[in-house]
Amino acid sequence: MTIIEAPASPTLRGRAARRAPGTGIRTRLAPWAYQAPVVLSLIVWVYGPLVFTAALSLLDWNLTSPSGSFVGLRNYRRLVEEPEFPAALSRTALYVLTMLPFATVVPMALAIMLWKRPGRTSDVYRSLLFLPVVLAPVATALTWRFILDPLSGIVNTVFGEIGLPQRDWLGDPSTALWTISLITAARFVALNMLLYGAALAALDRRAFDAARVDGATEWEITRHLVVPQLGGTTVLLGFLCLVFAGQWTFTNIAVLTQGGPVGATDNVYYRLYTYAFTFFDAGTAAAAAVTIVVLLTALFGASSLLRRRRAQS
Amino acid sequence: MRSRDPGLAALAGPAGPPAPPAGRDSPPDPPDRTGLPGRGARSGWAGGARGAGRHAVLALTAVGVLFPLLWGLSGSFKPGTDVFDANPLPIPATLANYRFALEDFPIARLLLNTFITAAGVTLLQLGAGVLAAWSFVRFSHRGQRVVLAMVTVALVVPPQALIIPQFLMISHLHLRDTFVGLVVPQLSTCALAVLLLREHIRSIPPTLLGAATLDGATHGETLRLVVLPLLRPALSAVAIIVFITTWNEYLWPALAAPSPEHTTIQMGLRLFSNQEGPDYGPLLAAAMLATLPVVAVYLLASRRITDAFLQSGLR
Amino acid sequence: MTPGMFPTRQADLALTPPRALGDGPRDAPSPGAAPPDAGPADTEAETDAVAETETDAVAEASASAGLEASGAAVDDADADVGGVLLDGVVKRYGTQTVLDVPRLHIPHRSFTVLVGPSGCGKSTGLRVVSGLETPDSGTVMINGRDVTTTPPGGRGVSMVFQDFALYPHLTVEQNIAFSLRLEAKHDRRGGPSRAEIARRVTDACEMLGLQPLRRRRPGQLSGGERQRVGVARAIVRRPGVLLLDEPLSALDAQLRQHARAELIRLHRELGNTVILVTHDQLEALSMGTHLVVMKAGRIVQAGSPSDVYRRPAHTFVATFVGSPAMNLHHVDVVSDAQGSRLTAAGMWATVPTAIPLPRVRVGWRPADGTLEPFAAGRPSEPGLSVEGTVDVIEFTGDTAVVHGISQGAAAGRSAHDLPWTVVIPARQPAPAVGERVTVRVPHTHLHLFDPDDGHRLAEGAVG
Repeated sequence: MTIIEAPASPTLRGRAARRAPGTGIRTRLAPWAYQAPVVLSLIVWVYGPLVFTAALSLLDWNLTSPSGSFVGLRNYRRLVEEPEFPAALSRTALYVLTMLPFATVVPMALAIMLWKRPGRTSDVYRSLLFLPVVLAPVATALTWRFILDPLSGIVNTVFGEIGLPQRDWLGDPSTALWTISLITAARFVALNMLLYGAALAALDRRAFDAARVDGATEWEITRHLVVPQLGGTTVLLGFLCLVFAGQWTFTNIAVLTQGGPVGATDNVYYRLYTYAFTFFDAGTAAAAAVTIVVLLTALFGASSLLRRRRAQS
Repeated sequence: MRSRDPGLAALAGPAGPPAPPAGRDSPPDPPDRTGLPGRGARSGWAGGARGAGRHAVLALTAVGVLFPLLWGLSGSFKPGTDVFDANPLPIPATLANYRFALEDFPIARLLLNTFITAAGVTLLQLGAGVLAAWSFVRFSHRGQRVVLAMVTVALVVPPQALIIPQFLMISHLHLRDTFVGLVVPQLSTCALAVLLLREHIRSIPPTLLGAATLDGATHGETLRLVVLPLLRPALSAVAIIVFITTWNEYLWPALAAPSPEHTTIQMGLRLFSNQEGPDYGPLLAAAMLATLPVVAVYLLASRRITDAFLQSGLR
Repeated sequence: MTPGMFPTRQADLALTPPRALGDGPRDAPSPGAAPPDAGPADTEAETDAVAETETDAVAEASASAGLEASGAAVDDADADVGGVLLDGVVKRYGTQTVLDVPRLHIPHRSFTVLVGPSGCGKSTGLRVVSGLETPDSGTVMINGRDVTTTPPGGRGVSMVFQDFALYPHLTVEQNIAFSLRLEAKHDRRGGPSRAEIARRVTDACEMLGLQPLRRRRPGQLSGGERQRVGVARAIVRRPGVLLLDEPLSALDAQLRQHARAELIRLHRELGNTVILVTHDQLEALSMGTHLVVMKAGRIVQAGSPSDVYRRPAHTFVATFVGSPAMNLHHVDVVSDAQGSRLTAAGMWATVPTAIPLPRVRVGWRPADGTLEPFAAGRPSEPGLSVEGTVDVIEFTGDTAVVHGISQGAAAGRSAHDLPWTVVIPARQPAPAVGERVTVRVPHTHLHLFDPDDGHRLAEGAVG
């Protein structure tokens, strides 16, 4: 993410224009004064807690006794040795994989469809399709429980009528994870459709007219001219899916399956929550938190390295 | 800001053309359809099999993503025994579920709590965010880079990693089940507001800010007299986003305010569902009450919200 | 008072060190001649006098140094009198130097135009004067006061921006009153009262014909109206220095002409110092009393518009100022005591001065050439003759621009082709395309430049 623009660009001159010269204490303190609320909030409620969590991961504590005892890396060892966390990790990966197409291909197709035909109909569709981002996850999850009720939920009722298999979608270990995935996917589709729309709006469309004059069909234009230009966006959205898939499934898991049946729908975030508030094992929970953050940072680092290498070549 | 000087202006001479009606600029240009498939039977909504196909896909997708909302809405109006009825339309419709939910459970109270919490978080994040965003744009202090990195990273820090210390802080300060305890820690998600507002302030032409400086305005005066009036649409859009996000927040209210009188409606729903067991009618009614207010807000302002998301830019 | 804004150091022109010609001062000083706000007032006699001075100064290399020193001394006196002075100002963005001005004095009450191609640093220079940019080194003085560290609001400077930068949420009169209201707020006792603010706003509106538009918002105004509001907002503060950043570029062509006249009239009424930045050389020539030509962050030439036009100090200025651009040819030189003969493909010239160089670059303006039917043989009088074929004719109403080509000595070798342009008045019948013609330019209208670095040579250049 570039913060300083390149020299000689009009933007930089503009930036300098905004800067009012003048030395003196007032001018030098001013930026800090303006940023203080945000900086303080972040330090107190984000970065401080992060440090605290890291320290906590080295303790054995149950959240109620006055203090914990130092146990070094034992919590981490437990994470690795006991089967629940690795299993949750692989399931988190599964969540990400199942949701990737809903975070990339599906919203891209929808966005392209809407983009090609600007007008009121498209605006209405866009408003409707964005709704899942706005709906309350808890309420939606409860409604899904109602819909997926194994005995009388509408899904099974309709499936029965038309001959599709009826299952206990949330209670059957073989279907539970996919069900949670699908329920969460709606949010990705909605948000990413909007973000693809933004990327499409920024494209230079005159090249498409040129292609049409050269005789290309709409499909060829879409496939060879439009989609490749969305590559950057796709990578970004895929990455965001990786980061947020676990978090967005968390609420659905908490409300609908509590990690079950038999851990079939568990993910690392929910495991963290369980360690902390079901088993009251703050140390292991903190270790899980640190592990997650480290993994995310590694992913970030790898992706920016890749991006830098791509930019160089 | 660019002058759209119609040719008429030159002809009319220095006096300028007859003024357009108050409050409006020249008539809007027709929408730019460069590069998009032309209107015709082969493409476009009205035409042919392909058009119908696209309509079908989009309509089906809309139904698919909105299905829980629609079905839940319909179910909430169905009387107890019919709640599982396969008929999408609630006939006969009843308000009994809503009455039950509102009477037997402090839903109204929960809604009020949620509203106050969301409003409080919105005000705080907007206030802090505007100040920080203005500072990013106005000053090119070296430390700002660090702060910007702090804000950007905070976007992707998983909240679950922070809840234990946050929870402990609140507990030790005896702020559980209070509004302060509910609202203040939710400042941790201010990163989105800061970045969105920063983008919007950046889009103000720098010559405008330079003109204010030349006119003798201090930093604060420029912010108050020039930037904020221009920021109004962006402020409302960001406010709506923050409000909705806070309204829908579940994890923190569950931890910070577990008691039914003080919590927000999302957490309240959980308690409700635990208590009531699988009695879906009132549960659905409660769920609708928990989600419909923001849906209404969204539908009224949807353009503004999507524009605000779009403005944030994909970098 | 000398218009002492010429670059006084070799480095200013980013050129190589001077040849051993002992040429005089780099630019065309009109020492003590036209006062700055008298406009282009050069007379032929004055120019000849200057030329003679330069020719006489051929052997006196030290004279230039002396003139520089005295020029500097006089300029310090000027700094006390008024105007704007940039002294040793350098501005960099990263590794790129966008402005490098060892010394620029803008005379008090002048209408000075900074002109040059995009990226030449003229806008940066303007912003340094306004205070919106702080130079990395050097000082800025306005009317004798060092304002280098003074914030923009306190320099007595107003600026009209290229996009006018009107506050979109305020009405026209609120836009104009904005700075005065701030001043009143900052200075409760000494600042303007409400009545005075109202009066000054009305004055500005009347001066610019904005009275019927006072209640409108910028979004409801046309481009020309917005520009006038921008100007009104700037002048309501009664600034000692008024800065204009490409104020006409956002206007339609027809409106531009009218706006040019309005700005000149405004300067006359206000009587303050105006600095205008533009990339349009026509605006520069027509509006300024004083011209500063810039390139790549440096000043190439400064002087009155007619000086710059008639005695360009460098091929860059010669081709940038004046349209169509000056014709420039590389020529071979054969020189003796009586004079020099210059030859190139299809072209002969004789000048009465000796040029101790094997090659030189000769220039002539399209309007200084006369078009005649083809006449073989070399002419007897000193001057330039070009033989060629008419290629393209542009009819422009009052004149016609004739583009022609002189073939190289060996037929068919286009590398030696010499393209040229001449402007003929409409009453002269235009030649036919393909017709062979001769163009003649008297030696008094020839300009000689160094063939390698492009700076002006004193000898023979009398135009």
